[in-house]
Amino acid sequence: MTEPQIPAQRGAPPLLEVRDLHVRFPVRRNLLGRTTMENHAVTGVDLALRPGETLALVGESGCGKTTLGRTIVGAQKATSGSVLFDGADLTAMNGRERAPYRRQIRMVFQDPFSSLNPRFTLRQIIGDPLVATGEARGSELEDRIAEMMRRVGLSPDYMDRYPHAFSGGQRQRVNIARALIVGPRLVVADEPVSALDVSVRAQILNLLRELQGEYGLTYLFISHDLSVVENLADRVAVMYFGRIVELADTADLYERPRHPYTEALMSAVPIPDPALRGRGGRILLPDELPDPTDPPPGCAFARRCRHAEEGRCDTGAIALERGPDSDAGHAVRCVRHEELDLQGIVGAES
Amino acid sequence: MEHARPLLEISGLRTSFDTYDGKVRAVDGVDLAVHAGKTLCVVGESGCGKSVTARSILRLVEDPGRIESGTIAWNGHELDGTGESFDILALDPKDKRLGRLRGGEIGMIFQEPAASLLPLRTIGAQLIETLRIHTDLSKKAARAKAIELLDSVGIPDPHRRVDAYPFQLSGGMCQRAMIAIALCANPSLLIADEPTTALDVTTQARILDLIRSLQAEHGMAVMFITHDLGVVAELADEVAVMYLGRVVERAGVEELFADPKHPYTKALLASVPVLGRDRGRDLPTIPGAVPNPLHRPTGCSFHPRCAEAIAGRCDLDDPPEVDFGGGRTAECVLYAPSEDTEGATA
Repeated sequence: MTEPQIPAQRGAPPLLEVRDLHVRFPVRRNLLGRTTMENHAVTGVDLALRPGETLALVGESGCGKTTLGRTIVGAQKATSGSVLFDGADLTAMNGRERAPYRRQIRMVFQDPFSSLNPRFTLRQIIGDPLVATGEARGSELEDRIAEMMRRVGLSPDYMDRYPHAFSGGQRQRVNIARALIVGPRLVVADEPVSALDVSVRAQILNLLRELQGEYGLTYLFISHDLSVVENLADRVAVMYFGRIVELADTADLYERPRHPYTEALMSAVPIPDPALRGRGGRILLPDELPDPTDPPPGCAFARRCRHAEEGRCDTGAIALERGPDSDAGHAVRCVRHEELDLQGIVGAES
Repeated sequence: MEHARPLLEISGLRTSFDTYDGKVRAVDGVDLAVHAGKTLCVVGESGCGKSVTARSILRLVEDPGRIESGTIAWNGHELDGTGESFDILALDPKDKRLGRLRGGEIGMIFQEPAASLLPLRTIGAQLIETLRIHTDLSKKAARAKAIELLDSVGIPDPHRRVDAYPFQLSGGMCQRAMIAIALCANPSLLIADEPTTALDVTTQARILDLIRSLQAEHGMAVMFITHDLGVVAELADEVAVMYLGRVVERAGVEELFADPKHPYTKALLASVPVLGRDRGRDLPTIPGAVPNPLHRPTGCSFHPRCAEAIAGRCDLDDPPEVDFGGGRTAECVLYAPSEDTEGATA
């Protein structure tokens, strides 16, 4: 098995740092317009991205991973906490102060069909960030658009066509070109391959990896697909119910998960090998999701967890702790993590 | 597996859609067989015709779609000795046998559970209606049966949930309710069209588990449509791989994964990241994208993306269907028994 290359500088100061971030959405207000019920989407997230690495955010629908991504790019306001880019607190800035950072942090969206304006040509879509900032025009603009299109594998001949003429994979290339044309340092990619055909997914994953090497990009890669995440990410943060419950290097997490939720999530991934059918002990989770407007005390996963112990897991706040055997910064939010021996992915023992 | 008569036998099915831009041949000569008690997985990417094939079985293709030709033999009655086999496509739309098939002998579940349930009627009302159509239960007995069915598909607190509206249930719960409706009349065949694609993996695992255990319990056959090769490996007895309206390869599940024949199947299996195998490495890719079915390539539909395509042959001639025996076929010139074919490995 080949070891993943981690070009990220371990000792370097983080490019992005998220500190105790909370995002809550008002659900109900009283007569005076005061919020009486809130949806806790992101609860106390701490995260640091090293320059040049790919950190994946995984979790199921509703776990807050998209909200976290949107808050980092500034599309969603944080309720409290801070997002620091290169040491500067983005959450404390007003629109004007934030403007220069908009080109440093860019986003690629999931749905290649709804995220491109159907009335714009590729030239307009890809060139828009340059036009909006007045950075390039005329033949320079055209050259830069053509160059970017070539880099993502689109022929510049298509510059004056509209999105409807392109397949999902090609549209996702347009999305990537639009994100990269202003030379960002951080790209937040929210499920960029989920809506694509299986045969096209690999192309886009390879392209993302290639562009990262070429431009020295840092990725925050949001996905629910553990196989895709394992392929691309250097480190993985597992989110559950608005919190990070486990964070580790990819190999470490997949082979030695320490949180029961991570273990259950991995066991649920169907393995494309009929010879392994029935192996690996699938953990079937009960459906009970906690109420996001009224988070339970203790571990939010406790009610679905087969390892949960009454009196220990359902009381008090549980901190994200470092695992005992790991210097790689394997962190886990589980009171029982030292006692449990959890199962990693099938076939990973080698 | 080929000694017994299949439960459902599709031959030469062609379904097309007339659009302003021309005729789209969504299903273009498909042969498939589902055997009693077994699971057939139909796997393919968008536009390969897998869903249209499934809808054609129940004659649910809507305008401007049209089933042009082919036969779909339903042998359910012959197999259990209650009647004769018939061709579903030859039935008059008003034929009672068609009504008994739909939701009766053949149950069907779809990708978007919340969209295929009626939003303004409770789960229970929809279950009871189906039960009353296909059985002669009284209203009261049907309600009791509905609660029992909800319980059997793993919906907690079925006495309360029977009166819930679809919006009050999660995606996984809605899909369970759909399965309960599909199972109402104890079908001999369940057609599942990407039933877990919109669900989280942990929910998917439970739905697959449910389908498997219900199958073991009721002995029903399952035709499972998916694009996920992991799901195929979990569930299938037999597999049909579709590409642009045709079945390009057919095999038992172990053979397909161990020794794929068609270049498309090979490339598809290689390009999917597998847990524990593909960490941090570039994935083999299939160049290009699935072509628009309006502009189907000549010859073999896959040839513009195929690494093994033979110029002058694959782009001109329709590929032959090569029979490897034991229910294995591949539609590819590489395996054709002809001396001028280089690179043949069969």
